[in-house]
Amino acid sequence: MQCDIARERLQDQIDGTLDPVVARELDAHLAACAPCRALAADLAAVADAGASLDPIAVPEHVWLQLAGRWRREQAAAGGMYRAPAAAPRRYTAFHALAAAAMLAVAAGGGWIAWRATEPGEVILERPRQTANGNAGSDVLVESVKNDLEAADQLYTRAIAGLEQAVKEQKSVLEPQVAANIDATLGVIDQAIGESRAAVQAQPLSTEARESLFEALRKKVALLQNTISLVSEISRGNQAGASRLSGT
Amino acid sequence: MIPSNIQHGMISAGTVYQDDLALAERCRQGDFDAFESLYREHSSRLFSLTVRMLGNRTDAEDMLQEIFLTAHRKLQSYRGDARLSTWLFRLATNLCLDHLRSKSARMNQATSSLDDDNAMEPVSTSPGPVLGTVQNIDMERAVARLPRGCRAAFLLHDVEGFEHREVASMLGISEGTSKSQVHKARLKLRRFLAGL
Repeated sequence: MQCDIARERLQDQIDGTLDPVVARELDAHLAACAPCRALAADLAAVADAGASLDPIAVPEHVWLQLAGRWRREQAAAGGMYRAPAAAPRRYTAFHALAAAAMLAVAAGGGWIAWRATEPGEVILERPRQTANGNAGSDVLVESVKNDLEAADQLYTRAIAGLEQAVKEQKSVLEPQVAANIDATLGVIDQAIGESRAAVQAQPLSTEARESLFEALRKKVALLQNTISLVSEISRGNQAGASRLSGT
Repeated sequence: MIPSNIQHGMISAGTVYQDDLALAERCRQGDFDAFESLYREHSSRLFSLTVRMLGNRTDAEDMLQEIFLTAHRKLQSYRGDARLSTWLFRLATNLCLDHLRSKSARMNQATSSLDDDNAMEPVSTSPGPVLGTVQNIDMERAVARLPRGCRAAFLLHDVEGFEHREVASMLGISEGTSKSQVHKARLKLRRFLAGL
């Protein structure tokens, strides 16, 4: 067997689909040819490494956002949505509010992502100077500030809705769990405050912008998880509640 | 009874996966618990594929939602003749490739189809193996550098364990092209990992 043919057959050998007769010919060639043997070992190592890659965990907030979007689509499609049988009626409005808030966040997140992928992102990093001094960059700074404020407001509105929902239903939670959530929210609020100050001082700073929106996203995720936890407890789903509370 | 030697649900004509079909039917009827079951069963593998295809967790989170919403809208086309996981992976892969194509178009980059990027990798003729133990983190980085066509084929075949005929069906290519794309990916990965 020639080297070029042997290398073509390596693929089938690694996949375990090589004809037994050809396999013996290939083995004989590999025994005599060091470079082909080295290639075979490396390609097998690559395939093994691929098969050994770990699954990547999905953050829980993805499901919460998806569930909100799914419910809205169902409602728009003519009310085919069938709520879980155990869901008490008194939570209908609560779920609708949470879903609406999640949708607002999803819309805001999408807008921000779209902005971030625009070619203008490069300009934000390196403002062009104009012939008349800093007039161009002043306009740019103003434009960026307006965009940031609009995005910040989207998050703020969504957070307000979520906070109201959490406030109304928090009594369902164990006092210790509620206290932990409050403490974490306090830390996140402090980070939001500091990041907002940094953004106001340096609107063109990518780091400051990312820090602000990361903190806002964390707050949304925590509030959504809290709502989901309340919902699971109300449905009597201990397993779901344990999963969300990490206990 | 489903033959045990069948992986991922590509089976002979006439066999129907009743459990998957029943779950799909419940989802179609707007059963929230069924939709959550579908998500809980398949989201982890689909998210892994999506993160590795898009190379970005934030985009992958958005894409995962799109995959499940699109799946829900299209479930009426699911006939139970393949596993629901296969059907979902086909949908997910195509949505990811569409996303990457549109991203390339927006950035005015040259685009290529899965089949027209078949130039073979130069093969190193080292007398001994150039790779030692491959760490996961190095592998993840190397996979991210692959061209999208062979990356998809490699992820579906070597990482997710689908057979070439399944990969071919998912990507709309021939089985031979699937094999050559996976081979090309392995050669490129060897080069990336070895720093050649």
